[in-house]
Amino acid sequence: MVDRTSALNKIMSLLKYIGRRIVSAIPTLILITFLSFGLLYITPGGPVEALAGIFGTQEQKERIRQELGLNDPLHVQYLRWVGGVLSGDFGEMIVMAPGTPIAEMLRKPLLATFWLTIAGALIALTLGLAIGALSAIKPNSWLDSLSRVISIATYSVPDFWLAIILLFVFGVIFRYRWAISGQIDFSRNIVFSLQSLILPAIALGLAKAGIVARITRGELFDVQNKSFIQFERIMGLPRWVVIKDMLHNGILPIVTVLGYTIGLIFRGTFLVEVVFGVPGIGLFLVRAAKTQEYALLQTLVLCIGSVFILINLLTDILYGVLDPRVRS
Amino acid sequence: MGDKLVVLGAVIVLVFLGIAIFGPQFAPYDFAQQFRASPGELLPISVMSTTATGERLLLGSDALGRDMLSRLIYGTRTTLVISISSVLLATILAIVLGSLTGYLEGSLFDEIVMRLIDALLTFPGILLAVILVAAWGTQGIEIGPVTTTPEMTIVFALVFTFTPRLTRTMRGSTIPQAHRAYIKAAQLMGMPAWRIVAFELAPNCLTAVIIQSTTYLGLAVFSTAGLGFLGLGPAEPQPELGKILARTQEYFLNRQFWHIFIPGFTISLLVFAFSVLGDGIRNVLDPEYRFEKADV
Amino acid sequence: MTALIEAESVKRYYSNASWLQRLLFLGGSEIQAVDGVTLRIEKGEIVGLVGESGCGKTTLGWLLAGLEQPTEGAVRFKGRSLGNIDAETRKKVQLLFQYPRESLNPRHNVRTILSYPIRKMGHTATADITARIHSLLEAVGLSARYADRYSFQLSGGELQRVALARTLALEPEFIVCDEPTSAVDMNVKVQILKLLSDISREKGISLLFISHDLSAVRFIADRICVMYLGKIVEQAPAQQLFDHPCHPYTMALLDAIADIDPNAIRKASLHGQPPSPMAPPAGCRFHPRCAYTEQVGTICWERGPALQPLSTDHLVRCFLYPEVSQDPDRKQ
Repeated sequence: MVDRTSALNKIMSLLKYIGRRIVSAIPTLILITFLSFGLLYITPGGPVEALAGIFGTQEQKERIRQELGLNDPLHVQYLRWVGGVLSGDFGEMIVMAPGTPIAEMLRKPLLATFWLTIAGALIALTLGLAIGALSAIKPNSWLDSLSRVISIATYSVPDFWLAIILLFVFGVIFRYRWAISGQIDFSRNIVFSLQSLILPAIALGLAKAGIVARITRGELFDVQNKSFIQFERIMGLPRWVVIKDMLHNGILPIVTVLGYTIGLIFRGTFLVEVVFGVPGIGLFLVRAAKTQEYALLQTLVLCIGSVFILINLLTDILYGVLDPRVRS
Repeated sequence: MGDKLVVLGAVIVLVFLGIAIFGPQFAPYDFAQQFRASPGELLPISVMSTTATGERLLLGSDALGRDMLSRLIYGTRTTLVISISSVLLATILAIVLGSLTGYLEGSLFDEIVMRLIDALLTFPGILLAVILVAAWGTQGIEIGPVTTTPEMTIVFALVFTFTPRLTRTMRGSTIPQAHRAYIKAAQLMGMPAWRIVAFELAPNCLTAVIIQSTTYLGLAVFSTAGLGFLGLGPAEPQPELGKILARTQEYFLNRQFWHIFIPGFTISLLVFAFSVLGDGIRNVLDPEYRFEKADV
Repeated sequence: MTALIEAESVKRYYSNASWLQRLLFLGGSEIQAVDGVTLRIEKGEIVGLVGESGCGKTTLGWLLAGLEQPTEGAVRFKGRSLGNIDAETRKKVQLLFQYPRESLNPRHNVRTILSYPIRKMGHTATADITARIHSLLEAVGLSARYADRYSFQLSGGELQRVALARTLALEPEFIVCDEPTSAVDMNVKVQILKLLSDISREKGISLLFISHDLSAVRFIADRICVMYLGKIVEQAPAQQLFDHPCHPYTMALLDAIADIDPNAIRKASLHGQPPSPMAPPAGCRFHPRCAYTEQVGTICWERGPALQPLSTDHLVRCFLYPEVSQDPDRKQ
């Protein structure tokens, strides 16, 4: 009976914590909408020129002017825009695919980027956690030095360059068709998509593994120096017991690393997507930037901002689930 | 091993600074000059090619027949100028904003600036720069009588990217100082707030932000090259390392690995040298530092 | 006659609520650092303020120096409220900080530190400034060589002298000395106390000397206020307070010094720590530690006593003494 109420209390405190986290994310989200909305107004030509683009006809410009209601006060324009976004209306494409609603075009790139992020994060985490943990267990050993060299090397190499080299080696020299396709679309051809995913994911994962390793080492190093672990060492407990206890206490740092790596990889995807021609958010963003497709750019800013808020939120919540101390 | 790495980093940085400053003196050709193998035919892309008029190009030419070595030298110059000036400007801005918000901690001004910074920090790395360059375009903007150059647009975008975190650092080191008695003493003497911040407070809070900005130089090179690589760099024919690297994809089918290797390697070397040097400076100034995720 | 500086039932409460909470009237918890203090200081007078750490004596000092704004009540300098006084008059009220090393900018040398207030006083020519620096240094007993030293090159006593020189540069009429001798050795302490009292007598500067060190206060002060948890509990001329302490708390404090003398008779002792100012005890704030509560009765925790005169210049806040009914301070 007592156990049940205490369990209930635990769940309640957890729910409260999650609620608080979600509420505290709202101001940031609102500021992101400001940024995204404001993007049109900081353009050199003003919103109409921006939305219509270089190829916009007089007719299109007139319609945009009407839709935006440029004579209304700014806050009315903003609220109208937010209203549109909330009902799934992000505006229309003008340059890249004239007349197509942006909402329709978003699903596939989001999915492609999602898979690429997951695959890249898997590689970065596998390598990074392994190297980081090994060097944390034996600091200042040759292993630690080696991992440090690897970390610095991968930290210095830009992911887009790594991507080009991989593309060159596998696509140009070995002539693997899958290597250069970039077609990640699991609704069409699963095997081919998986193959296409390999090289971009490796480029991303390798380039970020060094940073992940350094953070892992730092986080685990702290755990290791906690007094009870030192105590277990001095007492001469078997090494596997020590490592097990370290990992048990290292789970929080690892969650930190996890959340951070996903953010890092997501951020890196767009350069790699450009190299491999993966039709993801990044390629979309760069194309929107180059063609000055502002409505799309606005939408993407909102999307990317929301994704980062979501990643931070999920990390925080996971933190709260694992460690009751952070809840208060 | 650490010390040797730092020395190596310092040497590489010095060499690159030399290239950036004296590049125009020893670059063999103009970066925009197009060479031809024979009249009407551009130079083939290869190492050590000779032109119709007898010039020997050490690293060959790019797809438009321009001397690769000269473009690399000028490109390094562009990349370094953009990176260093953006970090410098961002640091100055951060010192001003950070010391003001730190001194006025808890005020409405502080609250607004910090919320804004939180929102900007949601777009980490060079994403924010990409978005801003996209919004402003790379053609240059007319602001009154002045027209900005594309390089300036990039610098602005990068300043926006770096300032938020540097400001946080500066604010963080200002707050404890702002509560110290010598600041109270200055207030008691009737010293105006601007003078307190500029002459009493800020000079005592600079260490952390300077450490952080040196570690940001590597990131700045990375971001500048990244923007250039995405086609959001300086306009043609101005060379920039990221732009040169992006164009190497045009030679893929010629299988000139050398050409793909060199620009990317140059970028990596610069990032490497700056990060190692930054780490070294930090270790000297702040021996208790631990690597943090905020540094990337 | 109006006093040079006076505090009229000033209160200073600290709240830990953020600006948003304050905006929505959601108060956090409150600390009553200073809770209704009335104090007058005449020209040239040296008033000592004693109490345990955390009793609010530093806050009271800062209120009188204008470094803090009172939550309620007013601080007046020459009859005008310190909150809205002109900058020129404002400078006449100064404060000497507890830790001189903290109060001097570590990046500036003595010359730079002294130049600003000198310039503020209208001396702008370089030769003029140098001459002023030398005369100020001389006034606090330092040679001209000290002008080019930095704070890390100076000892605690020298630092406090430099801080005093900086204060004197503004030609103040009232200086709050916030435990200026707590960070120095015994012999230096005596020198600084002597310097402070000489300067005060010589230039007619009033001092509020804050300290937990009764011997220092006895040495320098004309009049002494004893503070306990935000309230003044006893106020009397220095000699009289030491000869005839009336409040149990004052007795306990004096007894604590007497403890060093093995022949002294223990009159009252002070046990435990002072209660938290966040939740002061009901009734008389001193009753949980008071040796006389049993003797006086339940009234001690039912309501708080008022500060009332025993004689013309001796005030005490205790039920040990018969209440005077028409006391204006009663409401508190």
